[in-house]
Amino acid sequence: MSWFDSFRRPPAEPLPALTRGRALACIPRKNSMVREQRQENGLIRLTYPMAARPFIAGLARKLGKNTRPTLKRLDLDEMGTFVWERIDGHRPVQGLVDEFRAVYGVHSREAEVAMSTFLRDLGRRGLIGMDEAQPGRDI
Amino acid sequence: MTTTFHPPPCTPSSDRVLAWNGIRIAYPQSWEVTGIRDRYLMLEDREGPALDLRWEVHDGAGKYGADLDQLARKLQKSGLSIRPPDHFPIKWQSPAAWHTDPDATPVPFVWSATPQGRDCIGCLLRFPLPGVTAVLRIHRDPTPANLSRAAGIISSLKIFPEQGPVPWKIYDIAYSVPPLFRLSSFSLQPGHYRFIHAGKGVQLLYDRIGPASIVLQNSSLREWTARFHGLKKSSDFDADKEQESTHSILWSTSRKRDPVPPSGLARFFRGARRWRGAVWIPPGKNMILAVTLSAASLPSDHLFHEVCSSYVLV
Repeated sequence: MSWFDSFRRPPAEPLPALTRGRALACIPRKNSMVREQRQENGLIRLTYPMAARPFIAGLARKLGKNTRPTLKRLDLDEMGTFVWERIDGHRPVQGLVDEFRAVYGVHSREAEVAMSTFLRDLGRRGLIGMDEAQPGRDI
Repeated sequence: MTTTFHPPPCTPSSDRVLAWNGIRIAYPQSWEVTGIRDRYLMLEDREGPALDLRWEVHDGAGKYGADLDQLARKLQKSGLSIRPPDHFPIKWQSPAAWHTDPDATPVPFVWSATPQGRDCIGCLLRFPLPGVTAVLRIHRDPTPANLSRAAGIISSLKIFPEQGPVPWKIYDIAYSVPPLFRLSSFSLQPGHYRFIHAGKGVQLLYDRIGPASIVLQNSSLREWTARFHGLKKSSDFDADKEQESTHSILWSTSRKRDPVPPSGLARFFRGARRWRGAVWIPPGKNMILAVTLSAASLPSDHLFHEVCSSYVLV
């Protein structure tokens, strides 16, 4: 080991692997900042604030522009509405998968993949968070 | 020391059956198929990877035969270390203990992802008659229970040469492919599975689309079929064979476009192709099944109906 190595940042601790079982036991929770509105066709429209990226926000501040987060809208389809209505802070992902499978008659693995893709998309937009802890706790 | 033992039966009643690209295997109910490639399968339980299986089809002696050293050298490149199962219980060191197909040569081994990693069990299997070599790895410690389960799975492994009809069963669909058709490509997206098999000048497509209640919305199956397959004329539909009561549509047409365009020069030298298709919703199910056959001159109706009747939801 050279003296230079002592200046190097130690390698980051690897995150514990999230097994399929643990991922299915996670509980999705809605972001309290999200407003939901039922439309005439029965589907849900979500409205949520989206903050600008720090660089853009800083630039806007310098230029004296409005830096308040903009409001985004997301229209859910029938299956998205079905899942969103069932995210109650108590049901784990596995529970959502089981209900989805029972109602739409799809295969369990297909329901699992569709659900994880949908929840990942909601998470990326900041509409939900995933919790491995006890049910019923607010985020 | 005696080496008699009885591995647990791997029957379809207690286990799930998977048939994919010429092999069939039974696996426990709690496992799920999570990785699929042409000749590779990964199965997981809730704790993580449980089993993976890769196989090669070859003529004559094969690429690595039944030689463990050759396999070890081949897999070493991917960072895996493989060695003989010296510290297995003595009965499991005997190839006969794995109860494989009588024609197969099993070679049990121990493998680990890193030289200091956890030891797991595996088995190299060579089927000389159809010319298939399979490597099956169980991602579990070599405890007697896991060895017994591994032996049960390995004993269920069966090979189907493509000279005969090949059964396919993956997730909730099952069908039988006529002899001499090979898997050309596949896609498994939630809501749409597609498998394309190619024979001599013939393409065979299997689609499974759903949920039907969502896909169809307010349109009829006929309208949806016309949109999905790009059918513009009503004469494309077999009016006399259309059976609205069982939700099935038969159609046939002629056009230049292939379901899957050929590559290279072939695309410039092709004439019109005949297409024949069937679309139906199995009774009591919420899925649409579709079979499409495309060829310069279509094979007999008998073959088409045989293909359709073997395609089921399970």
